[in-house]
Amino acid sequence: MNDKDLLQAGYRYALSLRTRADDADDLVQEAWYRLHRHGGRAGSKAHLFTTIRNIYVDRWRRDQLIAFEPLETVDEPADSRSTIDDVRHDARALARLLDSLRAAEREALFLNVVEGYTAQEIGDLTGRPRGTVLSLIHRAKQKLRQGLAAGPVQPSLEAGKRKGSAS
Amino acid sequence: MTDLESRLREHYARARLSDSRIEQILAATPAKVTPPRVWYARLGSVAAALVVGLAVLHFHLIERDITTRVLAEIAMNHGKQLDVEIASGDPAIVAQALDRLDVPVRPPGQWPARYALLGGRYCSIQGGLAAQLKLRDRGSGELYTLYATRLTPDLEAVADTAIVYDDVGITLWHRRDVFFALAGSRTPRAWPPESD
Repeated sequence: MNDKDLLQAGYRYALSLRTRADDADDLVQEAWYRLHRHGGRAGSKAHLFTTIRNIYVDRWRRDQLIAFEPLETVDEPADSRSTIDDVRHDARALARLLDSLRAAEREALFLNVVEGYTAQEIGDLTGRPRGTVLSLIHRAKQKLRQGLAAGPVQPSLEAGKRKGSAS
Repeated sequence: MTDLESRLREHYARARLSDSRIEQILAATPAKVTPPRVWYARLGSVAAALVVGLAVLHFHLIERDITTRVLAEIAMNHGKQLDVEIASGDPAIVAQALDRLDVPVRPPGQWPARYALLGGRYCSIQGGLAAQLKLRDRGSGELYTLYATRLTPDLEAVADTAIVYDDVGITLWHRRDVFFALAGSRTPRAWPPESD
């Protein structure tokens, strides 16, 4: 995997931890520089993912800086959204649902479905037992399926509060 | 593959850093450092005087290189204009919130009247944890970014500089164990500004 592909993979993983593009961009940039500074080269995807995760934990989960959510990420009022039929098949609906998941659920789901990691591999990366990982993936899928079946995602203060935090 | 999994893959496949952003990151990537012994081993039997001469040249090349990389990173970060995580006009509150940095987040002395503080957030400079404060010039309305990070041996090699890089005026300096950078309009400014 060349450097560009590695950065793209790292960016997508960062998006599974922090759904804001700015934050994901910042995470992957810092991880990239940190790896090069200490090791001379980013090397493998697993190495990059681990570094991104460490920075994420340091910056957001440990300090609980999630309280400072910028205004631009606040959900739109329900009446400004598309109709149910539009949203149901809209990629934005999935994005909103992903946003409403806990970071740990989103991360496990991403690593399993998009990256093809096994539950054991996810457990090794995240420091969680295999059973917990399986449970996170199951719950995440269940929430997404229910949300997609139900139509538009309702504005949720909880999503804003939880974003990038609880795991 | 289920429909949900397929949609998830499509969702993340669409999420991409732009080519220009990738190029920016790669351009500011710290260079791989070849262990000095490898270089010196290659010199073999070259005369001691020549070794000294090459070492001096090597030092200057590394110094110039890291200065360029730091300038590129500062210009890039300033251009991103990321939202602040701690929104406050009080330097003390922002400094308190960014307490993971073990050095002051701004130069000592009175806060310059010329700048209104908008807030701060963490960032990185060459892989090290840094603070960035977002400022607005009360006169022109222009946005400035003030960076602070612990002075590392690498950053110690960066000379005090006031330069325009990628259309961003940047001033780099260090005081004691802190490395500072101020980025903003095309004219690099000192800290505190002369008008204060």
